[in-house]
Amino acid sequence: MTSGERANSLRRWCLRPAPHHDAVAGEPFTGWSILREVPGPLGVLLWQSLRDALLWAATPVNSRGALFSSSARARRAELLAAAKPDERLGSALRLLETLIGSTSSGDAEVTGAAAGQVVSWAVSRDHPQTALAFAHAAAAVLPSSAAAALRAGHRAHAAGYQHLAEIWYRRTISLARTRREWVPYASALVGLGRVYADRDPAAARVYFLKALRACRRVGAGATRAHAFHGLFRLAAAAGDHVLADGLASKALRRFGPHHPGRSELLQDVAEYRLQQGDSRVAMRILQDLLEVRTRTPERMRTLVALVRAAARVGDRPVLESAWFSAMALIGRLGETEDGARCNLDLARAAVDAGECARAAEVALRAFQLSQRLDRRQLCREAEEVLDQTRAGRPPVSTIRESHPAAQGSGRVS
Amino acid sequence: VKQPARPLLVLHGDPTVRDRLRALTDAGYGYEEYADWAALSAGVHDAPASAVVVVDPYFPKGGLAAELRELLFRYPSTPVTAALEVTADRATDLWTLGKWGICEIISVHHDDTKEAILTRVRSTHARKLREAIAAILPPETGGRARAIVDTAAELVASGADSSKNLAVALQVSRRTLLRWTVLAGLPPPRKLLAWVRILMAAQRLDDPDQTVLDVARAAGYGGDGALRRVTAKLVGLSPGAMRRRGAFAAAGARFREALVKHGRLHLTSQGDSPAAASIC
Repeated sequence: MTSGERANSLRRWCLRPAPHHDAVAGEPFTGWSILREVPGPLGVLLWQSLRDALLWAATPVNSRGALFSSSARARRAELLAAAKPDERLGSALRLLETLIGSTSSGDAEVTGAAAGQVVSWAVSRDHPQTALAFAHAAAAVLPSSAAAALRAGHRAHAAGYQHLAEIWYRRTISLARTRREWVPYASALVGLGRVYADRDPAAARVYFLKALRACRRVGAGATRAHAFHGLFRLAAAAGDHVLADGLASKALRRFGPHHPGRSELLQDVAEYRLQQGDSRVAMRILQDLLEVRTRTPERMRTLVALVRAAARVGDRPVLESAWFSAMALIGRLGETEDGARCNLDLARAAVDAGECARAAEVALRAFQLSQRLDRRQLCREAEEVLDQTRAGRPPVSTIRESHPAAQGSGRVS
Repeated sequence: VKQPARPLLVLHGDPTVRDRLRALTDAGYGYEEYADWAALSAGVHDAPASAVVVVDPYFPKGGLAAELRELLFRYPSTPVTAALEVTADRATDLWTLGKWGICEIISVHHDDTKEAILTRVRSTHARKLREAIAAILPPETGGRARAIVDTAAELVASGADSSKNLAVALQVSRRTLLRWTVLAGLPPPRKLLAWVRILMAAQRLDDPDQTVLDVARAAGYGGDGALRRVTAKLVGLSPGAMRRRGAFAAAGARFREALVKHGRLHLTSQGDSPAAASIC
């Protein structure tokens, strides 16, 4: 143990407790959202595994031995046999089963890692609530792991629970400082910056700058790129174009050509260019992005921006192609909340593009779907878009830029 | 402030489950067994608002009982736990139970040991209160403030609300807790706990079947006089007047005002910019 570690072990740290995520997430009971995202026997298996892990983590060490019934292992095996998960998920869930009847902290390491594998599986299948629930379970099973708390923060942020993400990021900072793990520390600061970006840009800037300083000390290149990306968003929102351009290039350079964060940055740059009126550049970036952004939510965002850009440029073939790709994607989502939200996003883009008939059609679909799913907020938003389509919008030709292909064809809408 | 025993109302066909629930009497629960849904409904009606209910959702047999849905509809603030055997084909039933308002599940033959049941039943105490408070907090409330309020709700519901316990639950010293509440724009710990207790009482006042005395006792006050004094001081209304206006809405509105007032006072006294304050 170094002198620094000894000093840390003696120091009194203010460690934020792990949050109750069910109240924030509006679940009637723990894990209910999993049943909504993953129907059938697999959902039940995931639900039971999650609850076992959380129950085990919440029980004092000396009471864990008699926590589950003697038939619990057999019951879990039955569920596993009925659910038939794929090999990757199945091995993770079998590892999670070792918690039953276990009291040792060594098993906690194994099950924490297994919960992490379930998180990765859920992310790859676009199940944000399941990913968040298992990230929470991993952090509960490994209460002193900064990496597990950080992952819970990221998942909460991705699922749209900003306050929950904030609590996890603050806990990560406390844990990372205690254990002198500076990479999760810097990543949590970037996460806090993102949480504060809309609410309080000045505070967000402070967090990003702190993260940059921490990254410089430990040489965390990717985290540094994320911090520059966050600062770029703030500068772009504040209208500081020179600074925004500089920060975007710094972030791009540090991400390198293959980092997954690069496509998100380019998406932001394209939207920023679109906002600046540089629609042709935005359209080119977005068309390139379609090749790499394959997951449904991110692809939808790219297509929606492409509809806007193509309408402004007046490039009808690109507009049509983006529109039909977006509609096909929505069709695959079916009657889900995501489907309603995507319809709504596309309707807004169509309103901006001056395509009022199409906007009305998809906004109406979003409204009907939200009504069926009892999502009142979405209903209200869809109604607002429908009102906009009824009121009419300036035709796209007034905002369209000159385009060689469109010049001869007159109005686009 | 006294904390009465918490009634545990049980309707379940499995004698093993009943025995395990009966064993919770040494953990501060008063076990009461019912033979059918009508008797249970009458029991919930007469029980103090601190009661918790454990049922077999399939009782007496067959599919999910329509009587359970009716019970949850009639008594939305009563925490009801379902104890059932979780099998692979019950995904839809579990989802439906959540939609109906069941707030915890005990998986029979899996986590139905005394320790597990105790953890599950205890987790229901504060759930409805936490959800209700989370809904009235101003949207700009930060994560730290939410964590403190959440923990305070947990303590108030378990009857162990003191600023010392709040500090212990948050794993900080009382001094740090005081500093945190100021930085988060919350009232000081004791006042915050008093507010949360009032909110809990207000939630129960909205149930027309409960008398003011029932609510006062369930919320841990010595009697209706004590409740009246506290509501007059914090909300500016008597329990009866709160009831007429919608008790939780009235108390929640005053709590929000108190939060805004504390946030503003802090900013003025420290001379900080809003940005600097929200960093904390």
